[in-house]
Amino acid sequence: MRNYINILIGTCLLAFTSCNSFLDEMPDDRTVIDSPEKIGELLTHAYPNQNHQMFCYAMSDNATDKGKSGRKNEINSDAYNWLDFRLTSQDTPDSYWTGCYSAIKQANHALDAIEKSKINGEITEEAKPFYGEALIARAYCHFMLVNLWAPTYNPTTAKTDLGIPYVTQPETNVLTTYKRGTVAQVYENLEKDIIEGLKYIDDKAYTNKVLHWNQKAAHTFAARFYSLKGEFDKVLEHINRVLSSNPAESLRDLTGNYSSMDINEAIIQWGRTSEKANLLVTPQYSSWFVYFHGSYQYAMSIESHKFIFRKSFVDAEWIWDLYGGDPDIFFVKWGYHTEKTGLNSDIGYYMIMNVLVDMEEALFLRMEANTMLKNYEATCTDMDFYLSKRLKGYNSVTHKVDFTKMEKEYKESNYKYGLNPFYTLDDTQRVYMNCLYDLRRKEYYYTGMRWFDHKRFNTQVRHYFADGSESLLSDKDPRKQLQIPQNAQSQGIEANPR
Amino acid sequence: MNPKPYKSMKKMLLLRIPIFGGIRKKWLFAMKNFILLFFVFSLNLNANIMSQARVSLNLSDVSVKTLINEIESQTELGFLYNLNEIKEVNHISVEANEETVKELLDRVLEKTSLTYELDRNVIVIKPNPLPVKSQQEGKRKLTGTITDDTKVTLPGVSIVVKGTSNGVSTDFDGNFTLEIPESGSVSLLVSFIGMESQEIVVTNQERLDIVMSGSSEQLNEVTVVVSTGYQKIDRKLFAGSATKLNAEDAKVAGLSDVGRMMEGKVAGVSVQNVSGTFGAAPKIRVRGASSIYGDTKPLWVVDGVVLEDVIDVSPDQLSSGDVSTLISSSVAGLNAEDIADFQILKDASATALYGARAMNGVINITTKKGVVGKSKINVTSEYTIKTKPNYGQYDILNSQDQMSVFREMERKQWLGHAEMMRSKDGGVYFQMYDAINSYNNGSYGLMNTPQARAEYLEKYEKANTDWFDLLFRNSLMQNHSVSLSGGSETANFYVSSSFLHDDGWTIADEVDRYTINMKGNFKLSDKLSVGMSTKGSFREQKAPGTFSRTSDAINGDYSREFDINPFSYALNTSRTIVPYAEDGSYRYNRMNFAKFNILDEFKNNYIDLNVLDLSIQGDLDYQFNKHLSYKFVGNMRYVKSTSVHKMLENSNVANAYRAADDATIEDANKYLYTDPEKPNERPISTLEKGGFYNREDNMLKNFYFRNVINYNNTFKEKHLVNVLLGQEVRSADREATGFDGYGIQYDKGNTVFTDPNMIKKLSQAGFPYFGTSNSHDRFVAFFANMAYSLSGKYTLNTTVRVDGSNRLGDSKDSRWLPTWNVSGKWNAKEEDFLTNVEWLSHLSFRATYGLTASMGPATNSKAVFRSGITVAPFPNEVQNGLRVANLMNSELTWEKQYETNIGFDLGLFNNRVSISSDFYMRNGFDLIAAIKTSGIGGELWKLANYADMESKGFEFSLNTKNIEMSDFSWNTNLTFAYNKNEITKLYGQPNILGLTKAEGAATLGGSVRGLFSIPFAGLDDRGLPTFYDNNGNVTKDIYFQDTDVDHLKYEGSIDPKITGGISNRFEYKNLSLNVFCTYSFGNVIRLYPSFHAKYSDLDAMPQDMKNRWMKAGDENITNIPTIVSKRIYEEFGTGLESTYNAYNYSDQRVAKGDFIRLKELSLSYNLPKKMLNKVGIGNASIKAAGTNLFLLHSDKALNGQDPEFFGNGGVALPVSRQYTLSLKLNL
Repeated sequence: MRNYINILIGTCLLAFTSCNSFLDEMPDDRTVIDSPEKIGELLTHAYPNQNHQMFCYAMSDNATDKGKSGRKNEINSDAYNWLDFRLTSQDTPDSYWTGCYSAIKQANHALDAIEKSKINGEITEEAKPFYGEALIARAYCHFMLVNLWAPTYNPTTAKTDLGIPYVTQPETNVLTTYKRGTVAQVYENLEKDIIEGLKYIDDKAYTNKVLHWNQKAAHTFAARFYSLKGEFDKVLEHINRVLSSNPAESLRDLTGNYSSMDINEAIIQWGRTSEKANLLVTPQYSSWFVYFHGSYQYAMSIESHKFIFRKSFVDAEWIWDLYGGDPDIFFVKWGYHTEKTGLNSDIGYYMIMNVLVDMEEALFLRMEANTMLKNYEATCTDMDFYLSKRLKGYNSVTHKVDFTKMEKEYKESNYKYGLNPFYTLDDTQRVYMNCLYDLRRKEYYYTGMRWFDHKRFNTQVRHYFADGSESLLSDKDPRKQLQIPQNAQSQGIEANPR
Repeated sequence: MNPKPYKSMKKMLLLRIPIFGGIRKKWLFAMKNFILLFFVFSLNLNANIMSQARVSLNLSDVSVKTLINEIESQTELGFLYNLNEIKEVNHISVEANEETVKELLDRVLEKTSLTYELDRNVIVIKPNPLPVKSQQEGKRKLTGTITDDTKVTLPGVSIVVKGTSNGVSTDFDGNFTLEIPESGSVSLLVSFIGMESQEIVVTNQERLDIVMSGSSEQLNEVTVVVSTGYQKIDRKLFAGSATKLNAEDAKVAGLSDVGRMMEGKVAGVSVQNVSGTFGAAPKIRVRGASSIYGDTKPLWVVDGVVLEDVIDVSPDQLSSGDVSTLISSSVAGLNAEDIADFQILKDASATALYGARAMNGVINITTKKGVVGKSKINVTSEYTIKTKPNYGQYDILNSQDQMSVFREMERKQWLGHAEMMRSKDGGVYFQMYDAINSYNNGSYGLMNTPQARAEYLEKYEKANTDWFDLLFRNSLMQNHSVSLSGGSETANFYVSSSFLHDDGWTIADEVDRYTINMKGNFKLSDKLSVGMSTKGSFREQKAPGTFSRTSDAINGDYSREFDINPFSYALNTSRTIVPYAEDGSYRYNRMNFAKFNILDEFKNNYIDLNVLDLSIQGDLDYQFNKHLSYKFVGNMRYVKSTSVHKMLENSNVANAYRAADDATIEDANKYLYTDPEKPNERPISTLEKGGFYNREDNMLKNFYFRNVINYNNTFKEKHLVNVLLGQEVRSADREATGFDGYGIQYDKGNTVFTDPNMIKKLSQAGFPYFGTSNSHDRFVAFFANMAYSLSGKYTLNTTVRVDGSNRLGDSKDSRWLPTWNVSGKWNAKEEDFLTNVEWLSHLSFRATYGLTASMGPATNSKAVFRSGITVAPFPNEVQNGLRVANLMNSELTWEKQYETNIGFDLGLFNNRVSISSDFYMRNGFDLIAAIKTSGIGGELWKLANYADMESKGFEFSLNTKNIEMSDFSWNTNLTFAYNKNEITKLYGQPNILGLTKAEGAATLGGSVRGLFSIPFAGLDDRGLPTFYDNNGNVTKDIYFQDTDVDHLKYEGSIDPKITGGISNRFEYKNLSLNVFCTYSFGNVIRLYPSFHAKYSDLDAMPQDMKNRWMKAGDENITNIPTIVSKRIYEEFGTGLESTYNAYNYSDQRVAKGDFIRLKELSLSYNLPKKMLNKVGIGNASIKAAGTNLFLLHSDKALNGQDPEFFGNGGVALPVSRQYTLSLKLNL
């Protein structure tokens, strides 16, 4: 009997030790991250796959009430009325919040894998570009989040203004508690990631670098970051690594090749990675593309188009011609593709190739920095480059930019632009900045960039309604900060004041 | 003492054979010869003589009789003995030299079970008396009859009180009378050659009827032993809730899938026939669902080994009608004739040895084995006719009414000439315009005049095509099974083979199934026995070609491309369509812009499915000694299924890929291709030639090993102890491979002509044309079970088990889970105060408390990464990507549940009424459900152990022998089960679509799958349906993705609360009549989504349509929405599509699922044995049965819709009404 028990105990012990390795078998086709290549593939998804442009556009003063004939859409209408959004589906702030944090999750897992793959405490050569990409990707998403959900950076209040949770570790618990921190903390983290990340960005690591943070895109992003901090010498330092001596060459050639394309070709070209102006492009789920631009109720009306795209201050017509018929009018921007649920399915998801960073932005940032550093001549030269690609029948002599023309159009007494950044603007700078503020409005018409300009310059936003009434979002209105998603609030994230 | 007198037994067998013939009475005369007392008198005998008489003898291996004869010959002593009592005492060897008879007898009989005494002048030889104790307490008589399982009485069966030599044999009629101690319990050993020996505890009964079954293995008796698959444990030591069902009782004529046989037979097992197609699993639940999103299927166990599923089909998917459902039933390869019995293990104690897989209950199947004795041949043939459905059962408009609806549609600007010629689908109007357009031999097919058109339509108004008649047939299904069995003391075998052929209830399906089962057991020595078995099945099945269904999240409906399900087609296709032209050729209408004829399509679009299932098993038993044994089980199973969906060149599918009649069709036909890089080019076909070859292979390779050591002993006659220790290892590898072939030319030697644009189209859309996915289950467990019983009166049983699995990922923290349970039983009948209660034949109480578990659907104990490619418009923008599919969940664990079960078993009036009842409470916790996070970790919804559920239930089964006469008997069997579950913790809320679809959804405070409805607010003044929104406003605009759902109306659970069955069996002489009904109550059903914002002239409509809104004011008298005019339709864009779907999902389109079904009515006749004997046949019976005859009760709102069937198209068909004739022969 005792023998049997001994045998039994022996067998059990043997079994227990051997079965842990037996149970190490992966249950399915899940991937194990065991190579730098796979770390890179994690970063394929380190870009927000949700879109912020549709609601940002409708919150900005680019949108107006076309009246009842437009397509009804709750997101469009909540945005226009600066309400807390009722929906959480695609194209809402909630979905963008999730999309950004999902991209951050990918970056953090990549960083975690890089940390684990270190040899003698050193990151391997193959992993270095991914290390850089992961840091910049993480910074970009947090940057977008802090700009949408927290007050604009202002060194005097940043230490008390509520920021957004800056996530640097993969989550391991079902419900993890996060703290918002302050805007200052977020910006410190951003700067740290950007500086560290830029050291390692390497365009050679990618087959199609426009889908990843490449040198030019990353430096443009760094410049955008420093422009918000008001550190314009740093803006210039970064931007000069992006722009060539003839920046017009690398701008989107609306007056050139685009003018010979029909709309179907043009909208495809817009988001293509082969388009030279595109520095960073990422696929996103969104119904915000050319066919919808024109149809929503709160969008562009004939009147608003007439006003925004009135004849330029250098006395030439803008290139942006209208398509469609009243009230569904629009002009050419980007198109769409679909992710289908089945090969021949009628059902699928609209996707866009969203241009996150482009050459035009680099050029605008340089103009802005040169203005703030009072290199007005450089600003005007760049503006000439820019206008050469945006004005019909551009003539480099007659349409040349000079301060007189600009001041005539953009002096503050003409129209109260009300730019009110935390740094001061003298009268000359104000004229230049008003001009840039307006040019950016046109250039980035459907992109929602206008909302970020409203925020960083603390301008007020006025919305008009078809019945003649209007409403105003004052320069420091708390509604300029999106409300924290309900689900995050219920997990203890402090709500924004209303 | 375990005598095995081979010689005398041979005699018994000889005697027994004629008894099988059923001419018992003739043999009564022999009875008095059988047990004879031999008296030999000598009048001058006394004790002195005995002590003085001396004998000398030298005997070797002789019987007592010989010894007595020898003594008698040497002395003048007389002996008195019962021949029967001494006949088993053989092998006496004795040497004596002038020894007194007293000394001699003392010496010889000491070693035997006999003793002697001097009674008056005779030496009486008799069995050794009982122990002193019981002698003091006095004796009582126990009488009874022993029969075999075919109710034939068994003469000559030895019944011995365990541990004594006190025993008797049965007489010619199988009767026995035995003296046993008056109080206390004794164990009887009942043995008979060729039958399974039994040990039965007798407590207070005065009568004991024993049924012996033919088997060589010990302890496998219905009333005595519970077989859990891990052990066969004495009932006395078992305290769980388990129900045994003999195969004969379970069998429902014409049902080839054993899974469906459970319906209504066992309290607490609910079976919902969501699809009746061969191979499709019914929705089986033991005590309701125990998981919210995980598996709710019970575990199938065959001969001690879990039958793994080839593919995992979720409960919601079971009703989808997808091809995968055809291999969802893991028991489809079992031949029902091979099954000996089912043991349904319900509570935590019964399932304890299955540990962390047992949360959903266990159905343990034991297959038949060889029997010692003469070889037997069993032949069973079953012929089943499935009858065609007919329009009388369903409320579909006839062609006349349908045509008047079409005319209304025409008046409302639908069905116009130009529009119809360019529409995707078209029926009679399309055909009419087509005839107008055709110009042949100088004349038009039809003149385009109002009169000619009216005449044309009038012709089809009278068509009244009977689609059921065309697409279904009164098909014959045959199932033939032959088994051979036999064996000797040292080896036995069972071999069977069966062949099933089903012509197909519809013209598009057909099934052939072949099974083989070979089983041999070999007793290599007294200690070692080995068993080997092989089970195999091969299935060939044909089904209508189908794609998987997809869900349209926007309009809230499901769709399936190219669905040609015959049942759906018959229900949904207008009866104005005619399949044949006047000359007998096919008449085509239009589907997907291409010509279509359902009869032709079945020839050109079908699925061939093959399933090969092979299982090899080895068992080894080693009996160290009487108490300690070791058992090994090893099993290997390999299943391979291949489904090939062939779409021939002329199929509608292939033609749809080519349909480009004009520019409008080119633009509208989604099967054409436009290169996104060339946005201005015209759409082109990507299938210039040939058709499709879509293949899917599924493989399962399963290994299983188990080692068990069992110790059992009885101390001091009353302490029964059983201890079991064991360990098991399992691995299951699954591989699914899919391949879609394009451009195969079936009629040209299967030459493949693939258009490169097809591959380009696929890669641009991000769809692969082939792929494979694998899963690997690894499983280890250790377990121990201890059972103790005090005299069978008080029983305690406890099990502890530790499971380890790789399913949760490679984290070592969460992979092990211990489960345990404790159960107890009190056999009250054995208490002194009840022993004398005559009418109470049995009463015992059971209680169980324990923890069971199950693996949830989450596998992310570490972060899960999944590879995929991105979707982008240009090839150089498509990238490999690696997604964090699930973040790490350090808290991940198994789904668990505490279960409390209290039950009792009661037998009254000599067990003529027996009742078994159980109450249970289950507290499910750590259930996996989706929880909404802050999103900051990057995963908004996570599957985590954050849900709880409570369920309560009551089960009751009643078996009564209402009438028992020699020629006539009437038995009733009733089962009843009530189960209610409520989710007590759940985060997150599904959207409107999830809650209102037919499959229902889980909600806090609701049941596992509750059905909700959009509140209907009446029709508006244009006959359009309106609804209440969240704020109580009336709206037509329903956004199905909306998560504001508080306004939805809760209709109830989609799972029945009450299920059960009732069967009445009448037997008169050789005739037996069985009436079996099943019932189900307490659930709700979503009606077919028959309403649409626009219809085509192909659609069939329900009778309800007659009461539709026609004119202003009708909204006050009807709730049936109007047929929308084109003008109004266009006013809403496409918005009315979701409005009408909302109507389908409104409270207007819900019915109660309650039903009572006459499941089976059967009459069987056992042919007279006398007649059969003459031709050398042992047994023969013939049975006629009707199955699924009709619903005795169901909600009128169903209008013919089967309350069990979901009707989602694809390969799903409802269960059919069928008539079966079966023949059985035993040779």
